[in-house]
Amino acid sequence: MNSIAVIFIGYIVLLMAIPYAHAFFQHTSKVVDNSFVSGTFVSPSVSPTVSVYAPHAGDIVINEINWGGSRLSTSDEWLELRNMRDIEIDIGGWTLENLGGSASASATITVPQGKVIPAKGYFLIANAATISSKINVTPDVITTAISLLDTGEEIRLRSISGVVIDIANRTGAWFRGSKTPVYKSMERKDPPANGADVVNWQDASTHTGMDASGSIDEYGTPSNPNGI
Amino acid sequence: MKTIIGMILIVSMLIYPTALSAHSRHDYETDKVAPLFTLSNMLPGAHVQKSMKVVNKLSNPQKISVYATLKNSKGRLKNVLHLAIFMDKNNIKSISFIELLAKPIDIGSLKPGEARTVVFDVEMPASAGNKYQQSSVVFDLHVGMSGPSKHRHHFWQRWRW
Repeated sequence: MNSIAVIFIGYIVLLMAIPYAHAFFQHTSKVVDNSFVSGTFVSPSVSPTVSVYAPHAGDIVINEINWGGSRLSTSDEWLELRNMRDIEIDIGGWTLENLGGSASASATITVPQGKVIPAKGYFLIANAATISSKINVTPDVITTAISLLDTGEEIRLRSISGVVIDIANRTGAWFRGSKTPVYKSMERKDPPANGADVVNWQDASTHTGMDASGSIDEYGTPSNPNGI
Repeated sequence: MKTIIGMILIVSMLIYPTALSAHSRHDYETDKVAPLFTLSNMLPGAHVQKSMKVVNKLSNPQKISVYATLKNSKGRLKNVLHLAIFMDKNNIKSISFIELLAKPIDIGSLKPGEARTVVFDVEMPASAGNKYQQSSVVFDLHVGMSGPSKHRHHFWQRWRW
């Protein structure tokens, strides 16, 4: 076969392939003119946020712990912090001891740099994004490192300088909350008092910020006031 | 040589119109809908989630695929956007916008009559630097089914010697 014949055959094959190169879909829905426009900002790497306030014990409290997961997954765990002050507080670099997946204090989770809790606001650290969880609020930090023992743990919140800001629960069983068949988070009573004392905690009895489908037997108030 | 060129022209005249008509049969758009995403002040760390329902009204199983076509781009924003695609709360894909522009991706399949919700989560990473300021990207998003088609068989039957 000479070269001209090869070119000719190749040409025919190419023409026959044309519709297949374009005919990717049988049925297409086309969403047109999606647009993203970036704003004006100063990159964190150029101008990092610096907090000049040195927080004290009680400024931030561990306000709610969902240690039992949900009907969706036993890993659907989350923890909520609450800012008791009238100023925003930068908690980048703060640590939560025993929130990670082992019984030792080394199972620490560190809050990423640049994270701030607004004045009187809440801060949610969750194992899974909203779409993969029974919560329907957006977590401030998502980390699969959250893995609480069902048998209970003492959670300690430390500032970036190592000061213990708050303690929740004690070693041993969880003060409050439950898992299957009825999932309830462990809520701090309001106003928050000593987190290491069982009398200052209660079972969640409402479901604010949770998927509606979970309202029958899943209770919690992520990123919302407790008991509402 | 003249004979070869003549044959090429004849074959072109015969095949190409058929090829184009086959294309229009296969890749038609069932509808065009308004933008899913319109964000005018996207900042580093921002996430935007939008969902759409996909229904297989055909009588055979269909693969669901997604691709994007770029309509307009100013600056470098398109280089930094990241997508996570979920189907019924399951994370199907996690890719850059550039990857989605490069080629279609499969995100699952639907049985006849089955309906599922596809969620697109677009993120501008918190680490995005100042070079991404005041830039923009406009694109069309194509969500389609790519299962077996009787039209394709029809096309080949027309060219069976």
